[in-house]
Amino acid sequence: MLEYNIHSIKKLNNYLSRFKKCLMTTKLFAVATLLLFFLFNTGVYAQGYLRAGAGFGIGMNQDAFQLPDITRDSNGVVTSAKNIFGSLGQGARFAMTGGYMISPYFGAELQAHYFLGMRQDYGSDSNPLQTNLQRYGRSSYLSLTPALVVKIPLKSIQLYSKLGIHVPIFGYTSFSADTYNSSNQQTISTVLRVNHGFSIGFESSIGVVININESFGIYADITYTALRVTTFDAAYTKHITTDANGNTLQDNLSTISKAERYIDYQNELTSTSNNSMVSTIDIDQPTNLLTTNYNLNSLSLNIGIQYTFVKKER
Amino acid sequence: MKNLYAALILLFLCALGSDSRAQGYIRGGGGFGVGTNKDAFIVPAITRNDNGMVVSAQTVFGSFGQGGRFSLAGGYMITPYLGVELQLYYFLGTKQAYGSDMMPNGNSYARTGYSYQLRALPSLVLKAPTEKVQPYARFGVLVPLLGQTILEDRRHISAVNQTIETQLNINGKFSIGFESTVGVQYNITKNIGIYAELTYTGLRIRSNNAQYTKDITTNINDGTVTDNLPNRQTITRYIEFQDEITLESNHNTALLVTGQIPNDVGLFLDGQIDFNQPLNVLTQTSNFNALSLNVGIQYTFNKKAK
Repeated sequence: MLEYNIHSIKKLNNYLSRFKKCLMTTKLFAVATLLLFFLFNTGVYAQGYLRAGAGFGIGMNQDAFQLPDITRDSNGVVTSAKNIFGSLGQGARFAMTGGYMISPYFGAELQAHYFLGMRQDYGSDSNPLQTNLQRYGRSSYLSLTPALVVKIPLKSIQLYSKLGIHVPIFGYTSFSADTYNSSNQQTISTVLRVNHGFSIGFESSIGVVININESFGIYADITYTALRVTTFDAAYTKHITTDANGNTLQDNLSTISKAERYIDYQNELTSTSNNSMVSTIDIDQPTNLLTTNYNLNSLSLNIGIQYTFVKKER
Repeated sequence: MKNLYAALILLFLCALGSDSRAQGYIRGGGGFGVGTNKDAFIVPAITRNDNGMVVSAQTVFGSFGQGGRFSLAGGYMITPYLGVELQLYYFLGTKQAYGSDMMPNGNSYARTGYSYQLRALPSLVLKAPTEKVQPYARFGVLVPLLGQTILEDRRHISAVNQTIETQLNINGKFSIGFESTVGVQYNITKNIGIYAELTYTGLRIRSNNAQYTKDITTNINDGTVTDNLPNRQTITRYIEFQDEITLESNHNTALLVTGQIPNDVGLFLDGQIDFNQPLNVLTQTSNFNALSLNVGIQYTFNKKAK
């Protein structure tokens, strides 16, 4: 119980730390916005807007994952290793945005967006005689994106472009692995949920708003998201053995040790870390691994509706 | 991707039509970028004790995108608000730590990397049609045209007081990235303006081939330098990256004993060993993400009063 509480406190500290860093980023952004406000403010024009929409992104600037697709012959000898290029950033996006145009051409906005990732191949090992391993990854996260906006207001349409700081607030990546053993026809299925650490990315868009009337418009934009999320901690949330018919034979979660079930990532492993490279393993403590990060880059097409509050003629 | 981009530009042109106030411009400038959205490199920074046991291992986060940029661009504002631009810029990266292994007895291994590239950047430009101060934004597709990434290894062996230094030059495959900019231009005269802008560069490049261009052993005691490069066979001097390694590839786990295979290159299978052919390994990707601040001067042709 005590260990559980310590772990909870660590997580809480992480969230507080992320919140503080997020506030710092927001403050920095607010200062930049204020500076630009004084630079561009005409005193005549000010206009707020709300926007809601959704979109879908494909993975861009992909990684070559460390684990390739491995194929073996009937003796278990590796006959090919094929690169998997991918990004965990492929998936759907749902966004709510509030913005403020300081001048007709320049403004700032804050977007909250939820990302729900698609399943991404993450390595396999096909062995006809013994085991078959198949791994997939999938990410989801909630993020805030404060952005600077340049907008060109024409009669019926508005062109705009944005550049912002993309800060995931909460999120995780799940890795599913199915290991099939042909000798007993049993499959061990696991899900490892990796919680993200504090990470900062960037997002830029170019798009168009088509005005339906003075207040309502519909928008479409192309958005490039550049994000790598670091790992904070991880836990197996599923670890079962099933038979050939898919019936669960055993739930292994209760039998595996704490060191096998939990991972705490560290930027530096030292003699106090629970890792065999630098110390002896304590099976009653989470394993410590070096922090790594995952690619969530994407290029997405987003559409939605915009409501503009105040429209004053210049 | 290029077709999509061209179609988008055409769509915008059709939507906006031409304008009597169309104007061309050229601009030149420079800037510096810091690495962002960094990778956690495979080889960490390792420290050992006197017995050679690892006492700490630290993740090395980095991007090869940190460095200076020198650009020339030509653009055309189709309307006062919207234009297209083609920028050519030279990127010269600063050195990035890329893994190390240190022992108190003086044995050490350290690796650094940097990159230089000539890049092309076709972009869409949105610009406020104000007089003196013009905010603008650009969004473009980034295409590296020429360049290399250089990995430098330095290994010190204290028992014989020798240092071995190698350099591996890596060429990339065709890759595309994205670049987005928000900036401000201050017009000094009708034709001349200065600008300052913040640019995000998102780019990963896949490796194509590589070649060792340096392999020297320096005896610290007497200062003699031995060039080991001529003694390297083709298989330990040249690398051809492949998306798939098969039994026909010049790739074999036995090559690990040569000690001349980069230590973040995985050897997966026992394929061919032909010492007179380049080594085949799986394609890798490298991170060139950066956030840069750029300044420069712009000259606008035929500027007409609005």
